[in-house]
Amino acid sequence: MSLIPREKAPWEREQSILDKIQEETDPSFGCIPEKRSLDQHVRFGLINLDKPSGPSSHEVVAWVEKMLGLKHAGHGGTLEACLQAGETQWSPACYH
Amino acid sequence: MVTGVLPLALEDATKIIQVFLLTGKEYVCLMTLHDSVPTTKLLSIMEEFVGEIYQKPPLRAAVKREVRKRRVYYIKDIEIDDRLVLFRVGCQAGTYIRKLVSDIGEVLGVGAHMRELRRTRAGPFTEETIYNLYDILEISQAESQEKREELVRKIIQPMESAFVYVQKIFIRDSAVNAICHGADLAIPGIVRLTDGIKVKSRHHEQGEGFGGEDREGSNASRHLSTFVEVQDKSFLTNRSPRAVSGSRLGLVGLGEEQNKVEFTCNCGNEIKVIVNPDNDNEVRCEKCGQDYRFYGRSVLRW
Repeated sequence: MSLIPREKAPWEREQSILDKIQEETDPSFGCIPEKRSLDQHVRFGLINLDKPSGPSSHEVVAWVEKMLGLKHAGHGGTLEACLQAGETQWSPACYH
Repeated sequence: MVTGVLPLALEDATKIIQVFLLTGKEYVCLMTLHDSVPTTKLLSIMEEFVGEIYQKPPLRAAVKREVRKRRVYYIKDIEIDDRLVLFRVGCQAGTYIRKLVSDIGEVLGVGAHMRELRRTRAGPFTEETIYNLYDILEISQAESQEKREELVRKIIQPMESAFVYVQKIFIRDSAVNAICHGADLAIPGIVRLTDGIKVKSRHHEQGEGFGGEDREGSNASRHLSTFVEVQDKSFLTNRSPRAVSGSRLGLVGLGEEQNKVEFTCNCGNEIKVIVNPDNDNEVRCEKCGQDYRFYGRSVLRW
């Protein structure tokens, strides 16, 4: 319909791997991701969290840190509590 | 009213957050139009917002308020119920959806705002593997160690799962130590790699973290440049009244004509502009002082 050049989203693209040389890695160094100990699994872990609409992304991170007894955690890509950047008015719904 | 996928990185995995920040996102958005609009017009204007668009970050943004070029991969599954429009949008990192919606409203000439938003995807993370805060509370309240381990293994993923859509270079075991101590990667150290990796000179790479999927070649390193190339700075204004309803004058060109737009001002003055990202997106007519702005790819009169 349109002449606009489309670029596929990263998850729609097919990624091919080019082999330069065949070489296997030595398993005695490091650790296979799935085989980490429980403690290591948490320390090198990610959670795909469903953010509720009330609290801010930062608050949510703080709660998770507390619940899991972590020293540190971070999130990728802020989802605003309710007032997205750029809005000029606070809506009362924000405080629910 | 914003919910959905929020990838969290725990402890030592926090370092890979840069990867999330660069991955594309997908949202489901509910837009409210401020007046009824014919369906065909609405659809054709929403179509214009697919591809490269120009966007000025909103007032309360976390980044510098300069117009940025952002790529919208698709807008699909559009459902319309009078003034309520529901749609799915896939876009590059750093695209403000609330702004996108209000820009669509400006171009339509009726105005619009974002009513609700749910992120359905951030890079490899989709709603299929999503867990909420109650699930995490369950981990901390698990009655036995076995139960806790089972929940932890189910809910927490290894950090490597973030790299699915990121371009990768696999290196030799013998190269690992040198790379970890800051050496440049040499070709003999490469075992295999994914396609689409661009080589950049070292000088341009300064300040760049991961060469993620959303950083496109030279555009990435050119973080700041000019948007409207005009000699006289008096062209550029900072006023922000509302757009004159339905005053769409021209579209920023694509392909060969990329970044160029020509339109006629009310006073008859022909205006030609070369549009580049990362600066002010306003232009003023030399003769009558009328202001124009760019929304998505449209020129609007102010």
